[in-house]
Amino acid sequence: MAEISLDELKKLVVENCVLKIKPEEIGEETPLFGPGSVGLDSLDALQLTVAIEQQYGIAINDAKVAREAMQSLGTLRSWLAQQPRPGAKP
Amino acid sequence: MSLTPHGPGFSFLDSFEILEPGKRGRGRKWLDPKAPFFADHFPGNPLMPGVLLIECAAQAAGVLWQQPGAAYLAAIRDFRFRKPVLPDQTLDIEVTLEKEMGALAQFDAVLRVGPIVATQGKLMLSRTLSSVV
Repeated sequence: MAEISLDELKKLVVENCVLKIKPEEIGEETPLFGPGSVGLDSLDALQLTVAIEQQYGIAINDAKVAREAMQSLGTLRSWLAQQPRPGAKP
Repeated sequence: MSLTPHGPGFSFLDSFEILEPGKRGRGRKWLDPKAPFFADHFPGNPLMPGVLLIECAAQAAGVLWQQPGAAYLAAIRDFRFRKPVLPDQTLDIEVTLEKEMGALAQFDAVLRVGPIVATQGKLMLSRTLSSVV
């Protein structure tokens, strides 16, 4: 699908998750989960998958896929870019 | 037999109907004016507590989810209490599974008295007590 900007993904995280750091401190490589991270937990992850599905029509249904895709905003952006656009012809 | 794992003193569902298997369902709860919380919330002006409206939604979501053991309330989000809910009214509690992943699931809940939306919001349930990491 079309490239999604870092700012757009950051806005998605800020609007849907409970952050433990200021939004301006979130970089492309900042871990979203775990020590030294944005401070998201599994509830935030579920909420974020719902928001991604609503915003981009891309479903993440597997917890392992979600963990790998959501390591940082950078990995999430790359993962989303590799997904087929909903409704697009193969 | 109770619809939920709760004891009779904390059951907030009288019945539950599956509208779409695994996806959407509707519970009902008649609010007995003799329920003890009405006496003190508030004296002379009984009103269904908002936290118990959330509990109604959580119990309905738990029945819809149909897990082998208990399901635990893990998060609530965007709840709105639009109309007062009073003794002797009957709540229709409609719950829709929005997303399930790992040990967690998110539901949308709409609680009506007749056609009027009294409360709505989203909640998450967990299969375990320690899945929020």
